[in-house]
Amino acid sequence: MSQITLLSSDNVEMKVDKEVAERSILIKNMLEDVGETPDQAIPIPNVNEGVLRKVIEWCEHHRNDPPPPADEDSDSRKKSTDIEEWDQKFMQVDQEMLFEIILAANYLDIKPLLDVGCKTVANMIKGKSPEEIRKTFNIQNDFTPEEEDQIRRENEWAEDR
Amino acid sequence: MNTWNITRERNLLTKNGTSRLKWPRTGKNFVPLDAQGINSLPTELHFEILSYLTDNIISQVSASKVCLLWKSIILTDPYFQLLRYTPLQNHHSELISIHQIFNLTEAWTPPPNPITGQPSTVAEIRCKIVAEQVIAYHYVLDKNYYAYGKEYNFGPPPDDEPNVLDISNSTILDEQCIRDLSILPVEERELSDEIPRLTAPLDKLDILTAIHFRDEYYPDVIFAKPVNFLVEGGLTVRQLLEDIVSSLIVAMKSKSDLDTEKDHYVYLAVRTSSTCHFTPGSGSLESFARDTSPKVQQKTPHALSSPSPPNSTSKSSPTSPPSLTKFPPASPTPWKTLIYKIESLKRHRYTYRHPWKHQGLHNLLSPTHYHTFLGVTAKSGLITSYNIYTFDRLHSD
Repeated sequence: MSQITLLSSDNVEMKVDKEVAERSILIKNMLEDVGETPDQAIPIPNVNEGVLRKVIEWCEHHRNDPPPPADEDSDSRKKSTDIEEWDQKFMQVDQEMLFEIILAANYLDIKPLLDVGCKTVANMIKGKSPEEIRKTFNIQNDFTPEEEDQIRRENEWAEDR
Repeated sequence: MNTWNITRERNLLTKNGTSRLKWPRTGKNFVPLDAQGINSLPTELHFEILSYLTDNIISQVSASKVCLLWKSIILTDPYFQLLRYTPLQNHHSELISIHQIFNLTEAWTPPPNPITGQPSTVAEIRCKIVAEQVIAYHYVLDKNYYAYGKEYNFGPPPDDEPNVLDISNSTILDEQCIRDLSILPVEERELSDEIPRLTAPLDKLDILTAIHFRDEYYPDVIFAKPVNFLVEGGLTVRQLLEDIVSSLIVAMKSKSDLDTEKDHYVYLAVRTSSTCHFTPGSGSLESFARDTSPKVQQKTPHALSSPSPPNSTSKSSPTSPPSLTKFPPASPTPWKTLIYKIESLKRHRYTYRHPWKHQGLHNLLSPTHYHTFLGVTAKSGLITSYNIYTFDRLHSD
């Protein structure tokens, strides 16, 4: 099994099976363009060592996954937030790492990993009030006072049904 | 073009007001220096995350109140709006889709167990009416007044009612009831060679309602006038609900002592098929005539089989439901084939259900239609009709 070397943004080299690295469409396309297994390390400038190791861990575990169905049509519209058990545990990381993984998956074009990351965040949003969501993710409330009033009025229904 | 490509390739925020956004909204490699956590994500990834909330209106409304970016994505992004539509199962084109707010009991919630027919989370729209005007729209999760009418007896909402959301001012109500998903939002329409498909006859939707005033519900479920969306394709959810409520009030006033000065509530649910009528021996589902007249469900002394809870229907073995095999030879042929390999011509009568591959349960027994029960009417000992009732009262008192 041929191996390639990836170079993280903080200049750490990591050897990885080519098959595993090719879970990333970005790397896969790059290798296809080059035509042969490169001798030199492939720089991944946007991903640091810690995140790259996590991403590779995910790719290792999912190296034999079948390719996603080409026909995503109508079913893809009904998005389920179900996450398989291994992926759930994999995503039990602090928020900084969670969003770094999502960014890396997006950059490296690893759609299934991106999906798992986005589902994880979506599940953290579900069932929470707007204020709880803001606190959870440290999001700034940037509504104008008028918009805030409007939202408050909408939330007052409970007292006046 | 799949959703992924759509989210990647377009500029999400082209509407007014977006200039106030402080969020990164250029390419995926753009990350502001002071950004952290979720704030470090580009807009397209916010879209991607929020798109996983489209199985749930309440989460969408809640998230839309978090910040300007999320409000902009959820309520005004034309592609996000498309995610709130789900194809009409019984339409020939899977691109003709109904607004999520009407698909309260299927498709957007996990499907019920095909064997037990246990429903998953359901929801309902409730209109509060004062002086003949709708003054509030409530979205009620986890309760279905038709399925669980006994609990509230269609009464007023209890004080501590959980999972209710006032959507009166939400722009979600101002979205079209029916959309053709082949018609992309304006900015991409020029690039698309696809022909709009909302030209074929579209089934009417039957609106099913119950009304409550004072301390009683009145008097039973009312089947409101169906709306022909072929003619009124641009109808918004809000317009539709207002139309229904006003026609209901007219009907109620003509029948009773409805005091329009008092507060009352109208409960709404919408199905793409509700009341079908079969004539024995007609032999084909093609001949069924939809009962389109506004009516109050009558309980007649001729009813041979009292309405059975929908779950009991679903619990029957799909291959030989005992209640159905008792039908006399004159019964129409559709009853015979309850599970069928789905073919293009017939698939609209069979609902695909996991884990069956390429096979569907006949819609008459479809577990998604767990509000459905079958009724047989007879005169002088002879069956005169078979009826399917949907969303009728399931409690007897």
